[in-house]
Amino acid sequence: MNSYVLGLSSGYHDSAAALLRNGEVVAAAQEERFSRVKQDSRFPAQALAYCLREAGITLADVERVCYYENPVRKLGRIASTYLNFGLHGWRSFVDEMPAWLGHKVFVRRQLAADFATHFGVREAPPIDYIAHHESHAASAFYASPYESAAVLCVDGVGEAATTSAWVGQGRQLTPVWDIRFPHSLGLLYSAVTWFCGFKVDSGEYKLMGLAPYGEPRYAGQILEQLIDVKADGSFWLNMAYFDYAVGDCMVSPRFAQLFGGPRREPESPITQRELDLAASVQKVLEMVLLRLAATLRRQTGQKRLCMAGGVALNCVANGKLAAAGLFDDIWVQPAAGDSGGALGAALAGWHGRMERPRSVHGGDRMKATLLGSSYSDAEIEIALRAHGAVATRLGDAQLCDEVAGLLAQGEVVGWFQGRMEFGPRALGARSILADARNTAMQTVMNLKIKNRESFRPFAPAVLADQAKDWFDLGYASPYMLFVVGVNAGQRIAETDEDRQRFGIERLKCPRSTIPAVTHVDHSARVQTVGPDGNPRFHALLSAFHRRTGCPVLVNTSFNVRGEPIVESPGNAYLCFMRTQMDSLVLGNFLLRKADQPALVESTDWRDEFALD
Amino acid sequence: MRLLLRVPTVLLFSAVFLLLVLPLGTLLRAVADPMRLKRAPQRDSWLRMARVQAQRGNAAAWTREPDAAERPL
Repeated sequence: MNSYVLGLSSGYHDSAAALLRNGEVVAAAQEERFSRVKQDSRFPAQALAYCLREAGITLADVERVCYYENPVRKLGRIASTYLNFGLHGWRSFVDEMPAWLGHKVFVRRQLAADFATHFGVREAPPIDYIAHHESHAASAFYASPYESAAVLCVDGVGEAATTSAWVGQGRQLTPVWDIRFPHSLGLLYSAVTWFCGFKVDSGEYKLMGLAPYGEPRYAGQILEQLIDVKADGSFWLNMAYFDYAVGDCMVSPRFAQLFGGPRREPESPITQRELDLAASVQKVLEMVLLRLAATLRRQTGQKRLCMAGGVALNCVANGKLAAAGLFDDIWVQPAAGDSGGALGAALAGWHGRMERPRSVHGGDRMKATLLGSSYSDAEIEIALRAHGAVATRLGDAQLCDEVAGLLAQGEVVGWFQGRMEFGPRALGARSILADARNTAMQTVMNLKIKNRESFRPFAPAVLADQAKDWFDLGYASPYMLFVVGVNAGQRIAETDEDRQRFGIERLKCPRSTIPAVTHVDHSARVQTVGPDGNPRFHALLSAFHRRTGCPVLVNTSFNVRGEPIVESPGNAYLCFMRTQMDSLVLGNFLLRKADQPALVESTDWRDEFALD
Repeated sequence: MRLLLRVPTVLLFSAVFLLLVLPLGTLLRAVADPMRLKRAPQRDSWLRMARVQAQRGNAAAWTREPDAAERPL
């Protein structure tokens, strides 16, 4: 008889559900994909319904539910914070405490009510609380391909820990140390993100992308005033500069004084200060992570490292960590943020609480992250008919050659295939693709397709067996979680005119033979694509390689700014029609923009999604 | 109606805050610094070492400060 364990994350951001069958990941999905609300924090009713549907079971068949944090411990941390900050927390206390004592601490009761409301279940399965960092650590280690490893989790905050270290051995996950709130590397990075005019919990990627345009001239000030970093990488934040602990703002007025003026207003022009702040905090983050990793290596003797937590999505730091050679191998959970906490909670429940054995068979347990919903060609056809779309159905062999031809001609193509990815990255199932050799492509895709800031870089997908000829990459990077240099042989030397440019002006310099995916510092966030994980995407890259001699494509998520990545053929068609994408591929159907009837909408779709 | 219910709740917790939390917090900060809000330059590490209690499963207890000999550096 099969045993099912359900993991849930909800209540803060990135609600998600993950379902295990006898320890194997059957399905995992984020609620935002279904609800179309970015980073949806509500009970993941639709994601859970999908997981149950995928497994062909009902909620009554679930043996155990594991929630990704412990609200009682979290309340303890919050109470402790108020005790420590005294009068400063007065307003926040009045705002927060009634909600906490009213319902936030009673998650079991709330989940049982949600199960009853959405699934008609009278008696909820047993619900376990798994500590937030234990969920992250479990998502990193249990899903990894390693029998034993050190585990490093770094995020904003869960219950109390903001950084934690573990050792994984077989099915055992043992804590080594932690660093606790309010001292948080994630919140330091988020504070600078906010100060630079971006949103907390989503703008951190932008800050990371902005960093190469600047110089780290504030790094000294950050290290002297904001953060005390010890030789072992442990750190202390000077809370005189931050307000997030009990205030309603990320930073205190002293922070603005230190950096020469108030916060940049969102959507206003980016100045050199923001570029330099981004470069500075990125440098500090990398320094701390390198020291922590070195400490962990020395303490545990482990040769492999697993990572999770929101900070583990900082792929520039991950690339530096890999290049430092502290560990023989590094595996980062692709859903490293709180959505992955749902999966980690389920895995911790299965191996930790239920004491079920764990075996490692070569690869990891993430199935190339293709753990989400899929649609058959018959279902796609029904959706297309509903929109009056005009499509051509192609055979398997013809499809990739045809699409490779369109890409080689400079078209931007929406690519919707098979099961949806779990985690923040589009990895060839819900992607927008283009020719990486095209000099204008970065600007075209940012401004005309994605409607996002012009400075943001795009990532390359490359055939795994060709990767070393194009990137300085000595390992597989199937989840786009490591930033490395573009191979010297592909770089274009800077001219004197190029060297005169500063800041975002540097975007105008051609930097390599694949300029659309080469950042201003000649780096790229690489996805290597092998034949096993996503065969159709591999076939497309192979067809493009045969046709052009280049095994690299631009691969960006199938959405516009502020929109969750598309989930269904209907979402994909609307996104295709609202932007200047040239073609759309849904399963075996090819749609050309010129053939489609005009899309008539009563409202401006840009109002549908709040800017991230 | 929800607003009306909220008023006494907020008043109650505000009273608790003023009468209990604030004096306790002040006292606590005077005798200890559990959140490590004050800088301590003499420290060589901010890590809190874990002590794993013998519990079923993996539930961990982070209960103890490191002894000098256990500090990593």
